[in-house]
Amino acid sequence: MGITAFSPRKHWQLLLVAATLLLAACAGTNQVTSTIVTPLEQQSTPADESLLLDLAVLPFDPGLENIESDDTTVSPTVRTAEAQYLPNQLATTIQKTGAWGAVRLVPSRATVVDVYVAGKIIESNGKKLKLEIDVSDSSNRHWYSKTYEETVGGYAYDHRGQIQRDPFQGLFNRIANDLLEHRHNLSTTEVEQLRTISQLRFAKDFSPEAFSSHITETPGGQLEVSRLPAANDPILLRIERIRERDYLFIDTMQEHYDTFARQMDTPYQEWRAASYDELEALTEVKRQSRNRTIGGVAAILGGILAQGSNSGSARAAGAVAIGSGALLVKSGLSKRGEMKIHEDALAEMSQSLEAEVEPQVIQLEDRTITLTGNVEAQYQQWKALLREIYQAERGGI
Amino acid sequence: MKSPIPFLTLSLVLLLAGCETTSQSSSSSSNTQNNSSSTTQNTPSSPSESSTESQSAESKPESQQASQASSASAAQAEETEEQAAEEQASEQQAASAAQVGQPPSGEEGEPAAATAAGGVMSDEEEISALDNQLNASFAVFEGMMGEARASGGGELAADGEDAGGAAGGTAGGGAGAGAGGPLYEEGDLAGEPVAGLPGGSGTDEQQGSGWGDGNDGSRGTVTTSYGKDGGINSTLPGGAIPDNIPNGSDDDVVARQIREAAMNEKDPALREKLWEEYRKYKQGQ
Repeated sequence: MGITAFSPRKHWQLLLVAATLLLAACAGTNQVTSTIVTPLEQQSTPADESLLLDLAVLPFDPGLENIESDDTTVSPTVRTAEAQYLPNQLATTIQKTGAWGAVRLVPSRATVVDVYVAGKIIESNGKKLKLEIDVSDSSNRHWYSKTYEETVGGYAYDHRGQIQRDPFQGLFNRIANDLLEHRHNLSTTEVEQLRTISQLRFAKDFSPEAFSSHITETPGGQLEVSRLPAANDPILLRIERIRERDYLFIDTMQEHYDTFARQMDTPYQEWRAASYDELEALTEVKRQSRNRTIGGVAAILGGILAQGSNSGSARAAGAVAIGSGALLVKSGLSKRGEMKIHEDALAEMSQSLEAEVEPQVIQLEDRTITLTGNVEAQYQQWKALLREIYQAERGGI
Repeated sequence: MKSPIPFLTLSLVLLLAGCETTSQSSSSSSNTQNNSSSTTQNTPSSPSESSTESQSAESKPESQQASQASSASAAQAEETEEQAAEEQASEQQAASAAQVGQPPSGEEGEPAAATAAGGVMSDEEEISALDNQLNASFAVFEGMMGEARASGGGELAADGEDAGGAAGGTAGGGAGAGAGGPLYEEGDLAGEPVAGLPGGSGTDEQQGSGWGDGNDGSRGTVTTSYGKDGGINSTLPGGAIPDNIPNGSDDDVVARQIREAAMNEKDPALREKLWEEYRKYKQGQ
């Protein structure tokens, strides 16, 4: 009737397409997930305190531009909260290596610290975390940039009989281990110079009249020590006392971040666990939907092919295959509805977490802005006082 | 025979008169001694002179003391006038020295007040005043941090963890360790001369505070007490609290620390600045 007989060549082509589709449908799409947590390396020998570098982790870039507008599973507010929470987790991990001085989360690079760790969130949900990490120091030297990614399995959320830890602790450990490795590659002289540069940068910031000639900037933007002040330089001694207050400010800020992280921890981890389940279900439904659609199309193609056969039984089988294929395609399409349910569930969970953490995010921002503003005002007063003292001392010479 | 009674009466009257005269002479001598003693306390620069005079007065017989009492008083009056003239000359010298930018040759500790009154300070004095201002601002800053810790660490304390840190930060005016234990060495935060602040406030119990060891009579020890209404009552080395300053019953940590820094400040110019800072802060509240 309407169906014309295929040439043997075309026959084989269609058979190949159908077989490929079936294979594709059957192929597993399971991702490799990490079940072994990368152990944290620690300083094996007690470090000389004079050679400990202070390290600051900056709040992460939330990477909001990477969130697609139709992606309801990620909330900008939750991502903003993660931008404060994740670096705090990282700072805690780095501190545990025992290879650094003070490791703190600081609001910005305006705070002078020996080493800075900046980061950007590329992807973050209950299943996968992807961070872009950038490390530099107070001399403006760039250490390295690296992207870290980890996909966890359900085991990460199964806390029966094991120590409670962040599901992505392995990723934080890898970042800390890389930092430690880089630190070990620094010579004692380099470390001492870096500490001196930090000290002089802070001093220059507060008294440029007295210390602008002590550090110079290379054409590449890197800072170098050009001369050292006397150990008993009275202005330097005053600035050291100011720096102790700066440490007090950093510690106070750290308390705010710690409080925020503690408040966020429980709802966030619950969200991650639920998000993982939903994402797993969503992935499974997506896989089934795709497999059924592809399988149905392959069956339809095979049935059509069989319709061109000279054998009656083959034509009958082809008709059955077309019917079955159509049912499979329909079933695949119906799985899209299930996907929508899971996506809605994820969106609802994000909104729920958002409602819970938003006041805390606002509170943290308020505290950070207020405290930083007050501190900045105080620093301006100190700078003015130091300028007057410097001028009076110069006048007295 | 005449009755002996009139003679006896006359003798008694004469004796009484004689006793009264002697008594007056003795008390005059005693007053002189007391005066010289108080002079010794007031003018530490001339203890040897007073002591010599006092000893010589004691070594004389009472009758001679009685007859010399008036002359001793006159001599002391002359001496007091001489001392006043010397002090006046010294002040004039200090003032003229300050005007040419040199430290006055008077006693240590006095120049700041003298020059503050004069309005012109030498470089050293200016640096000293600026250092005082810096120290006072440290106290204000630590108070601000203490308050920030109190407001931010409340949740931690409520959790029953790190409560000591949060409380320490508040009560210690910022010098205490924070929650989680700061790893930074906080060096001289606790023991600076600026401290002059209570080692731990926050309760209504009486607190003692001071600038130093109290051996310097010019500064002495400040006793500060927190009244039941929360106000601060102090015995001040730097003068009374200005009239337009409230009693401090509703002071927070920062205001209280500025107030105490002002109360402990001896330099009138800097003290006024601190009171001004206090007024501004209270108005800002």
